[in-house]
Order: sequence, then C-alpha cells, then structure tokens
Amino acid sequence: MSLDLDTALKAITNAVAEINAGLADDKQISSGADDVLFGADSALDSVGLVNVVMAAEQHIGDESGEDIVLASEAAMSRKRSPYRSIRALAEFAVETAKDGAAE
Amino acid sequence: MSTGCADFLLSQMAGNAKKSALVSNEGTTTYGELLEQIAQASETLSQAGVMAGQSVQLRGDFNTVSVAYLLALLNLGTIVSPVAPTSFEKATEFADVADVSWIVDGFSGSISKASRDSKHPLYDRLRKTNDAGIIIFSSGTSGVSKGALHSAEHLLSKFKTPGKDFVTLAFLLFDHIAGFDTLMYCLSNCSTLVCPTERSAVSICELIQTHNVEVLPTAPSFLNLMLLSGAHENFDLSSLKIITYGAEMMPQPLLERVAGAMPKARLVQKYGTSEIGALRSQSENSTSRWLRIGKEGKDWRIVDGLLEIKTKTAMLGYLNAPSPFTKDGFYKTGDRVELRGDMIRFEGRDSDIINVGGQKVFPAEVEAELRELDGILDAAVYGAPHPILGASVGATIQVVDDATSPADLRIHIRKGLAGKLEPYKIPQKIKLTTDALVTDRFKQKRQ
Repeated sequence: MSLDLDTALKAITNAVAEINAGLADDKQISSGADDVLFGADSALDSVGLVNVVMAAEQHIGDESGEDIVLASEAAMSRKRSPYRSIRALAEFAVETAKDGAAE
Repeated sequence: MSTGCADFLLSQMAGNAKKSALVSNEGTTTYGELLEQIAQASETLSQAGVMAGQSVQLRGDFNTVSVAYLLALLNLGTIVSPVAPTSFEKATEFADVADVSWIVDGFSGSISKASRDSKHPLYDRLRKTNDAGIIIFSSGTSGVSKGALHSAEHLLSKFKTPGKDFVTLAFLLFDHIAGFDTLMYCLSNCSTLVCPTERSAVSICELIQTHNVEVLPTAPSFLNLMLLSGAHENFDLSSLKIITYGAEMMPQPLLERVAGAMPKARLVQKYGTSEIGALRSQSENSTSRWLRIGKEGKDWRIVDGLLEIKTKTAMLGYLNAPSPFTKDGFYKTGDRVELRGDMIRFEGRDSDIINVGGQKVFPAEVEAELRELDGILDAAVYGAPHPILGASVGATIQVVDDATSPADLRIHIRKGLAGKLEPYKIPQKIKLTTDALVTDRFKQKRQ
C-alpha cells in the first residue's frame, strides 16, 4: 500500500492533535500545514519534536498500513530539515514510503 | 566557626574585583560585587542562626544570590543540597532525604527554618573533621532519587590547581554534578560565567554571540537540536573554542555533524557522575569518542566489561541507598565500555535505565503510573534507540477491550500521564494489546 500526500498530511495533523491533548494551553503546537513545526522560532523542544514525529509514524501506520521511520540520520543530515513544517514532514513521509517500497 | 573551604576562591576573587563574574540578560555582577554579596549572605545566615554541620537546601540557579549563598554556606561549614528549578517539584522529597534544617531561596535570598534535624550517620563523619558537605541528587532505581553526599573539601580540592580562563556558558544545571563543576572551574579561574534563563537552541546561540562565549559545556541531545533547528546558522558562534559533552551517549554521526558545522571548536567528551564528581579527561580528537580518564589499574579498571573508578573526589556515600563501592574503594559505574590501549569508549548502561537526552527514565516508575489509568490492565515500558534523543520511551499496554480506537486510547493515556510524569518520561511510542504482558515464567516482557 502506498502513501499519498493527503493521507500523510491528515495523519500528521491528527498526530499533532493527539500530542496537543496532553499539553497545557500555552504549550499547544500549531497545526497549520505550513506553520513552523520545528525551527529557530518554534516553541517545540527535543522531547516535543520526538513526540510529534513518533506519533506521526503511528498515525501514518493507522491510516495507510505503512510502517515508516521518520527520525533517522538521513532525515537529520538533510540541508533542509524535514521537521520544519507539517507539510515538509508529510512530503518526507511520502518519499520515505516510496523508497521503502522500491527496495 | 568557619571552615573556610571556599576561602581560596574568595582570595582569587579579591584580586580580580573588576572582572565580570556572572553575566545574564538581567546584567553583570563583577567579582568584587560577588564578594560583597557573599559577605552579606554570610551575615544573613549567621543572623538567622544557621550553623556549621547543619543540612541546608539551596533552591536556586546560576544567579548572583544563589552563587553567593552557595559559597557562604560552604564556608560556614554547612551541608548544602542545591536544587535547580527543573527539580523544584522534588524539593520536598529531597529535603526529607537530606533531613534539612534550613531552606534558602536563591532568588529572594530568604531563609526559612525547616522542621527537620540534620541527622545522618554520614553527616557525623563530616562534623568530626569540621568539613562542609554537598549533596547531589540523582535518579535511583524505581525512580526514587538518591542523595550522594560529598565532602566539599575533597570536591573542591582539584580547583586549587589553576586552569584556563574562558568565558563559559552555564548550560548544565545548577544542581547537577557537571553544572557544579562548571561553576567552580569558572570561579577558581575568575572567569566569566554566562547564565541562561532558558535553554532553547536560539537563546543559547544568542548568548554565545552576544557575550563571545568560548566554552559551551553541553549534552549531545542539545547539539542535535541546535543543528536540526538551524539556530547555529543565524548567529555568529565563531567565539566558541571548546564544546564539551557528556551525560549520555554521543552517536558517532552526530559528533561528525557537529564537527562539520563548527570546525573551529574543539569537541571534548567529559565523564563524571553524581557519585564520583566530574573527572578530568582527554578526548582522542574532536571526532573521536575514545577517551583517557587517568591511569588504568590505579584510577580505573574494567570488570566484566563494566567500568569501575577510584577517585579522591568520590562521595562519602548515599544518604538513602546501599554503598555502590567495592571493598577496595572502586565505584561501580554500571557503564559498559570498550578498551583500546589506555583509552575507553562508552557503549551504554548496564541496566534498564532509559537515557532520554541525558535524563534518566526508569521503566518501573512509568509502568506504575500507566497501571493507575482507567481501562489499562498492565504496561511494559522499554527504551529504543532514537537518533534525536539517544533513546525513546516505548510502552506496550494491555487494555481492557479494543472497542475504542487506538488514537483515542493514546489520547486518553497522554492526558492521564500529563502532570503526573515529567514530559520526557511519557512514552513516545504506544503499542496497544489485549494480550497478557507476562511470560509464562512470570517475568515481565519489556520488549
């Protein structure tokens, strides 16, 4: 089963909602697809980032049946971080799922 | 009666009165001003009736009032347990373990009497030699914090040898052994300590640029975070000469990325624990995780693959746990190491402890909280390697029924744990099952 961008966007948005459920009102993560998720100006710390990324992996698994890994050395050494926005993470997920299927 | 174990620091300061000691967004304190504050703190302590040999909790951070009280308390000969804001929720538990007679607020400077008696057999050993003490708390098995009692005289002795004068950022925490080490190293060389109010990648990079910070003692997870956020590209970090890291495993690819991003800075691994203090050590080179920490046989040895260390700076003992020392005085670190010539390399911890970005998580503590939640029968918590934090926390959870959607159950679990456990202890990966979590030999399945 392959992963399309809309499914990935929906899954990651749901993942952010899941993490937000456990966060105080002033710590909520913005859920706009193009808002800064993790970057120089974001409020997210490293534990928060990992929470979002791992919840995203689970939601993508729930939605598409794809078992993908979004935190890897390859992801972190990219010139443009795949964690900069929900959209960037969704695009990265689609790409990762494709690479996985090609192997 | 004054034991004066910090007198050597005070005389250094007197000779450098005009130099900046502590710098923060709120302003600068010179060594001359710090000396005045220490004198004032000593006066306030004696007026309140604080005496040598008593156990005192210092709730503070890297600021002038806290640092002044820390030195005044050590010089007075008290037994001090520093507690930083990140541990304030455990302050009462720490006060019980240390049986503190006094609580000093390192922000307002207020002193309050605590209804405890400063009683412990190990304290009597310090009192016999009129020695001040320092208590460093670390997480113990099952999540109960262990208090490591140190002789201040022993812990401070290495700072009598002059070191190098660098503008240093106080990134590590005020109540951690490595944070204490950073502070004392700076004070003993009359260096400038830059004190952060928060530890986000941006605010740390901004402080480095503004104050021309030369040394950044930090942790691998922060370095990873900084590179990921891109914060280092938005500031001028060229003043950095040395970046030290410790507290957790440094992945080799991350070390190489940090070296690539900051080619002018030397990367140095540090090793220390709450029990034996921070050791002087030497990295093979900036991209190597191999380390020299003294003389094999005399200072350290490897037994069954695990590192054991003998040092003068070791604690007297735990206040609330059995001794971790061998009969011949070596501390069993529990760290699994490889050996090459006279150098060692850390492979990981020999226990269930999950090290999430330098913070310890004990599966038993998280499992206990999970089992308290409605609809949950059992839980098994485990660590899994993670490229961002070093390790992540995973949980396999046995639920009563699988009628509720997995996403809703996960939300129920996250909401239930919020506020009960620190954020880094909340499982990042949650697997749900209706199967039992014990093996047929009644051992818990943690994987």
